[in-house]
Amino acid sequence: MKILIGTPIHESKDYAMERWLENVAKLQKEYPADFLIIDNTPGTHYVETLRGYCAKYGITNFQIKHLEFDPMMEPDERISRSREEIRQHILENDYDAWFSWESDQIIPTDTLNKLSKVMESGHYMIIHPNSWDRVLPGEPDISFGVCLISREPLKKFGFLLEFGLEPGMRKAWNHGDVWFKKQVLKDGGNYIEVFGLIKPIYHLNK
Amino acid sequence: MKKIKVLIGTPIHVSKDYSMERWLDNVSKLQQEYPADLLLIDNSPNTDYVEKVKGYCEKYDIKNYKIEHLDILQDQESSKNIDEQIHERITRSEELIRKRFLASDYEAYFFWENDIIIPIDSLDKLVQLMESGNFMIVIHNCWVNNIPNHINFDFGLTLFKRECLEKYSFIPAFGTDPDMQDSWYHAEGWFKKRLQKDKCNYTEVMGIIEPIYHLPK
Repeated sequence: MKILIGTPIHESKDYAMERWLENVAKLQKEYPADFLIIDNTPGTHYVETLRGYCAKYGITNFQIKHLEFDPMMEPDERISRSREEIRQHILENDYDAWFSWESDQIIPTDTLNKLSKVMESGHYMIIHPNSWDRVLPGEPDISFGVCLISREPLKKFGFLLEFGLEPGMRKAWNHGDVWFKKQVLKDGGNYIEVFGLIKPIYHLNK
Repeated sequence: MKKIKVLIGTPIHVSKDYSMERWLDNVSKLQQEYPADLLLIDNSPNTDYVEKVKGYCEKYDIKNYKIEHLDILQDQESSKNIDEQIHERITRSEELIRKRFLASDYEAYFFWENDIIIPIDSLDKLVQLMESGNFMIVIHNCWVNNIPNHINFDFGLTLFKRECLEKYSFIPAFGTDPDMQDSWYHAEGWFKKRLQKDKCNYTEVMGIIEPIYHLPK
C-alpha cells in the first residue's frame, strides 16, 4: 500500500519532536512511506528547526507545509484544518491510505506493516490502535493519535466540521475525529479499534 | 481455505422468546455458509423452555446443536435486582459454554445474542479479521435495541480465540482489583480490562457486519 504519513505540527510539542522524528526515520526504513508535515506554528521559524531535525535524523523523503492561523485559534481547530490539508494532499496524489501519527507518540517500527496488513485483509476503512491519554492515567486516547485511514472515507468526508448539519452537534472543534468516524459509519462504512496489537505506544508528555 | 472450528454458544431465556424463531432461522442459514456447532444454555426458571426450543430447532432444520439447562436462582428467589440477575445469568451461562468449549477442540467461540439478526457471511468476516491480526477477541459493536443511536458495548457479537478462553474465565473474581465493584453488571467490562492489563491484543469494530438488527420486544 502506498501510505502517506501526515502530521500537524506545532512548536508547543518541540519537547517530543526529536525523539519522534528519530522514530519516523526508523519506521520509514521498515515501511517506505512519504512524509508530510503541516506546521501550524505562528510564523515560519519553526519550519527551519524541523528541517534541521530531519537532516539530523537522516529523513530525506519529506515535505513541510506551513499554515498561518490566527495565534488565538484553539488547538483543535488548528489540528482539524491541518488534517484537511493532509487530506487534500492525499486526494491529489495516489495514496492508498493516510497514517495519522501525532508528533508525541512513539511506536514500534513495525507498526505500519501490522496495520496495513490488517487493513488489506478486509478492506477496512479505519484502523485505530488505542493508546493512552498522556495526561489522564488509564484513559484511552480516542483521537487519531495513531491511526491508519484508507483513501475511501477521505474521498467522502473532510475535517472541516460543518456545524449545524446534524441535530445535537455542538459548535466545537474538539472530537473532530469522533465526528469523522460517525460520518463514516452513518454512510455504511466501518472502522476497527485495536488494543494491544501495537505495543508499546509511548504518549510523551514532556 | 480451511475454516477454523467454531462453536456458536448462546445463553437463552424464555423472556426473549419473541426473537427466538427469527434468530434460529438466521442461525440455520449462517450454518450453511459457515458450518459451526451450536450450544444453547437455557437459564429460564425451569426446563419447560428447553422443549420449546427443541421444537424450533426442528422447525428450522438445525441438527447440529446441543441444549443444556442451567438452574439458577431468579426473580424473587434472588436478593439481587432484576438487571443484575440477568447479567449474572448470562455470565454464568457464558462460563458453562466456556467449559464445554475447552472440553472439545474448537478454535474459536462465537458469542451471538439471540435477539441479533445478522447477514449469513458474518462469521466468515469475523474469522478473517481475527486471523489477520491474530486477535484474541473480535468484538463487533451494534446498536442498543431500545435506545436510538446508542452503541451496545456488550458482547452482543463477539468471536473469542481459544487461547483467550484458556486463560480467562467469564466469572469476575470480585476483589482482585481495588476498583472492582461487587456487581455482575460489569462482568464483560472486567473481562476486557484483564486483557488490557495483560497487554493482549483484541479489537472492537463497527460497520463490518451490515445490517445488524437488534430486535426489540
